[in-house]
Amino acid sequence: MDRAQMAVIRLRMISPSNQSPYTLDELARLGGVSPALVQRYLEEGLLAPVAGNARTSWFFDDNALFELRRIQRLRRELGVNIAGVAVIHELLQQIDDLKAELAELRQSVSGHLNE
Amino acid sequence: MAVQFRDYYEVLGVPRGATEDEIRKSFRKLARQYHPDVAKDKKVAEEKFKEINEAYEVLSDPEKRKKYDQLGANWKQGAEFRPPPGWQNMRGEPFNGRAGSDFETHFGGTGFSDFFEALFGGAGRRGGFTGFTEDEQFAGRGRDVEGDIMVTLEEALRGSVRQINVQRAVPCEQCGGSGSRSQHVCNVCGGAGRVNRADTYQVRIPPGVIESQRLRIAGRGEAGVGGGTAGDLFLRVRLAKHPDFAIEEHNLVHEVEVAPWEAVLGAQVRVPTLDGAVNIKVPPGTQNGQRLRVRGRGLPQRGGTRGDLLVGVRVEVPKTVSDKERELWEQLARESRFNPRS
Repeated sequence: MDRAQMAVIRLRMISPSNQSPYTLDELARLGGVSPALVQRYLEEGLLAPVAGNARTSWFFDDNALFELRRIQRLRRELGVNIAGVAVIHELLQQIDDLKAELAELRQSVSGHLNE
Repeated sequence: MAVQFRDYYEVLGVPRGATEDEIRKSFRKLARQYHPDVAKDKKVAEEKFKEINEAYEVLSDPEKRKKYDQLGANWKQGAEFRPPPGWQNMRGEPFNGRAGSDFETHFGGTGFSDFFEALFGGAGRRGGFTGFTEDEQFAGRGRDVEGDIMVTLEEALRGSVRQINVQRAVPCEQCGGSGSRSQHVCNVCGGAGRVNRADTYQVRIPPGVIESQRLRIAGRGEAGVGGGTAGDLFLRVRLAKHPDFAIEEHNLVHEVEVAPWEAVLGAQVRVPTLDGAVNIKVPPGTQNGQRLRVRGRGLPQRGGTRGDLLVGVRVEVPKTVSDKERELWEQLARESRFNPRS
């Protein structure tokens, strides 16, 4: 058989970074901010560690890194203050929940219609 | 170098004679509307957001606005534009005479168009909201790209490899990211220097992922600007609906139907789990709606443990009965002292 015909298209395999959990300092470095600022966001309840109960034993995952970068974007690009960021987070979360609920309701309605 | 003309007044929706205040107000309104973190359609919003920022960068700075206004009012958005003779000299001029100032805001990854760079050089990063400084290494960094990835419960438990399509902006290969080819606007990217490309990858889903967990794939976000590093790709895990199980945090819920006598006398019933079916004991006197717990057969949790499988018991009553069955129920009714309403 022709070799070309046997060729299998190989897609590039990518793996998520398995560097997490991060310490507070590592999280700050990946987010491009100072550890003191991360601490501030923690005090304001904008970020939460996944484990640990003292500063030295706090650990964070990639969700925290995503949130940290989003906080920075909102502050930098929209001039939102920290309280404003907290409100935006809350509203985005609510929209997310409502979307999920809507999707579920739509699914069950279309299920009933098909019956 | 030929690039596409950008009508910054049109982008911000203000007349050519607009005051600084009007320009700032319009910018703020549009920036809030089109910020990719809050807009409904992220992809469209992102491009628009960059345009708005670039327009504000020029129109909010009296020096730059003056230079821009010198081009005249006859240009149309998107027209092929060649800087008039003499303009090239203005490239690389320091802005406001305070290059590297701490007061400058940096728009990380907000790429400026080649039209902008042809007029003002590549150094413009003033931004709309002052008083914010950030790590220099983040200036020019590409934006993060986010997306959802649907994962079945079996995949969440055991891990898998999934194919994904990612749409992101990458440097245009046709013009090498410059936006022009042999003195004309590049016909592939339309002068933007960047094109949206859909990449297909196989992505490894590690075992034990949970709902809404984000997987970060470093460097697979948008291309950086001016030598900045690329952003990251964040994939948010969404657990797919399963025909047998509902999800309650780390627990799975399965509903099983039993006959009235099974509920009264107790029974062995077979229930599915993600690791194959198991027999469970329904204890005598089980109530309708009661939940039985099968430990460790739920979803993975952080730290390697697993939630439980909760089996909801639903007592089903026969809709029709044979003569013999009716006799037996009648006998039971006579002899039973059970009164649910007492």
